[in-house]
Amino acid sequence: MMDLWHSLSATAQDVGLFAALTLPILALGVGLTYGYAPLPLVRAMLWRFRWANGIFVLLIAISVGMGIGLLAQERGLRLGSAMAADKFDLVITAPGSELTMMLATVFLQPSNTPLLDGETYAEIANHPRVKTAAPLAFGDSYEGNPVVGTTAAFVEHLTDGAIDGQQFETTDEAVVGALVDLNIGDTFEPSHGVGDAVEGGHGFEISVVGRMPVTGSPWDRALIVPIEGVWETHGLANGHALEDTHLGAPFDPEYFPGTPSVIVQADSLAGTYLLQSQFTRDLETMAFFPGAVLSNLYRIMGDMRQAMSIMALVSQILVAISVLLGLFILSRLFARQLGLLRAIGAPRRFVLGVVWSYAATLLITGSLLGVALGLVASEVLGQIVSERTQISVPTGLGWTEVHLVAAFLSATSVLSLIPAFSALRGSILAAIRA
Amino acid sequence: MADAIGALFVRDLKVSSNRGRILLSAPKLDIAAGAAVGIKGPSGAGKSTLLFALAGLQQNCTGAIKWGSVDLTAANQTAKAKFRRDHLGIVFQDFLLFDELGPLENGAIQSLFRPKTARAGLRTAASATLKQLGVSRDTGDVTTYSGGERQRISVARALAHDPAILLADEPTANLDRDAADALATDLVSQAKGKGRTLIVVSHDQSVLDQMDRVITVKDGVVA
Repeated sequence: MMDLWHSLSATAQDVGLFAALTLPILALGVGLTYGYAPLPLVRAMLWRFRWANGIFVLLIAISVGMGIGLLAQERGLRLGSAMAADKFDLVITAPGSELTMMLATVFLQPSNTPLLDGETYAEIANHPRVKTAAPLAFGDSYEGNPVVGTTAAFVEHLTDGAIDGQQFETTDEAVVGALVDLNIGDTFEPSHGVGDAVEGGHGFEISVVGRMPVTGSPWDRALIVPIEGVWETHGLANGHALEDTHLGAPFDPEYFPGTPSVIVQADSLAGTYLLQSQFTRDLETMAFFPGAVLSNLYRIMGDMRQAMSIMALVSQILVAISVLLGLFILSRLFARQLGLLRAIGAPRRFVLGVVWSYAATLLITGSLLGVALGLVASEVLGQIVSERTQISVPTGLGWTEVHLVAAFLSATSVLSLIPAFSALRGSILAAIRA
Repeated sequence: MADAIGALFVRDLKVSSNRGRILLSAPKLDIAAGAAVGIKGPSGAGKSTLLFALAGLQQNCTGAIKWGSVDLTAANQTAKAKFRRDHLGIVFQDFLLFDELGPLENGAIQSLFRPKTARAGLRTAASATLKQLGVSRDTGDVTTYSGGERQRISVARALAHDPAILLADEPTANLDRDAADALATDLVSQAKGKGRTLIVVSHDQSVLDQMDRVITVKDGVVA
C-alpha cells in the first residue's frame, strides 16, 4: 500500500490526501441528510441565533485565516528567496560567514566585507571550467536604491538578455532594475554610502540606458553600472591598465582594486561543484551555493515553522472547542423545537441531521471566510516583506493550506456530532417544557 | 373496530416518576375509534400525563396502551416515533411552532422527513387544512399571526399527514373566548369529518361540552 502511495506523483498524493481528509464530512453529510430536507430548519436555527452564529463564524474565520496566512507566508518567503537566488549559481568571496556574504551578494544587504584581490579574481576568471566570473562593487546608492558595479556579461546573465533599452557601454551609463523609479533617458547622481550612512552626491550624473525585467529579487531596485565606474569614483584603479579603455573582463590583476564577491557561472553542473570544491580554501577563499545556504537556513527555520504550525493548530483546537461549547448552548436554546420534532415522530437521523447541518454550515462558512482572510493576510504580509526585503513573495493557496482546512473541517464536523447526539438525549417532554 | 388504529385499549397503566413515585394510574380505559373524548380534572391531577402516555411520550410506563394492535408500552423509541409519525397528530398548549418559518412551512413540517414522493402531497394537505381553518394568507413568519391563528397552524400541522388519532393538550388555554370556541368547533369537525379519534385535555367546559364523552382524572387516577 505504501509502495503504491509513494509511486504516485506529488499532485496525486495531494489530491488523494485532500479526498481522504474531506471524506468524513462528506460521509456524515450524506449519511445524516440523505432522503431528508433539513434546510428550512437549519435556516431557522441560523436566523434565530444570527448574532451568536456571526461571532462563531468570525472566530472560525480568524483561526483558519491565521493558520493559512502563516503557512502561505512562510512558503511564499521560501519560494521568493529561492527564486531570488536562482541566478546565483556559485559565489566566491573572502572567508567569513556564508550567510552574511549571501545576504550582501544576492539580497544586496549592506555589509562590511573583506575583498578578494586581483590575483585571486584572475585565478577564478581564468579557470578552464568558468564561463563567466562577475566581480561586484557596492558602496553607492541613489534615493535608497543600491548602485551596484559589475560587468555587462553578468547583467546579460541576470536578465537572460531581455533588457528594455540597451546594455551600458560607458561608465556614465546604467541599467536599472524594474522597480527603480527612473525611465530610460533619465539621469541620476549616485551618493556615497548606503542606507543611513549616505554622505552626499559624487558630483556627476549617470544616464539610464536600459531597464531589466522583473526578477523578483532586490536587484529589481538596483542601479547597475560598469564596475570600472564605481572603482574610479572612489579614487581606485579601474581594473585595467591606463591605455586599456574597454569595460568588463578580462581585468588586469595589477590594476584590480578588489571585490567583495565574484558571481561565477561554470560550464556545467559538474563544473560548478568542482569550482566550489577548489575555491573553498582556509584563509584564502570561500565558495558557496546560495541555494544551499538558503536550504540550511530553511532547515534551521524549520523548527520555527513547526512552532508556528503548532501554534496555529492549538488556536484552531481552542476555537473548535469554544464553537462546540457554543453549539451545545445553542442546541439547548433550540431544545423545545428539537423536542417537538421528536414528539411528532421525526426519525433520530433527521434530528441529528438538522443539528449537524447547522454546525457544519457554521464551520464551512467560517472556514471559507478564513481561507479568504488568510489569503488577504498573506498578500498584505507579502507586500510588507517585499517592501522591506525587495524579495518578491509569491502568495496563494497551496496544498498544505487546503489540507489544513480540510482536516479542521472534518475533525470539527465529527466533533459536532456530540452536541447533535446530546439533542437526542433525555426526555422529549422535558425538552418540550424547557 | 377494536383493531382499528384509532381504537384505544388501556389496562393497568401506571406512570411513575424517575424516583418511582406513581404519577398516574389508569386501571381500565377503552375508547372507540372515531370517538371524541375530553379529559378533565384539577390542575396537577395527571391529565396531560395521561395524554402524553397515550402518545408514547411519557417515560416509565407499565401496563398496556394499545392503539388497535400496536402496544405502545412494549414498543421501543424508534417504533413509538414511527407510530406518532404515521398515526398521531398532537396539538400543544403553547403551539410549539418554528417562529422563523411561515404558516405553510410549519403546517407541512412533517414533509421535511417524509419520503420525497410524499412531500408535495403533504404540503397540499397542509395548505388545504390551513384554508379550512381560516388561515388563508401565507406571508411572513408565524410571529406575525395572532394566538388563535397560531394555534390553528399547529392544528394544521397535526392533521397534515391525515392521522387516525388527534391528541390535544389544553388547545384553547392561551386563546380568548371567541377564538377558543371557534377552535374547539374546528377540532371536533376536523376529527369527526374524517372519523378520527379525538382526545382533548381541557379545563374549558365549552370544549368539553362538544365531546362525546368526558373522562375525569383526579389525584393521579383515571376514573
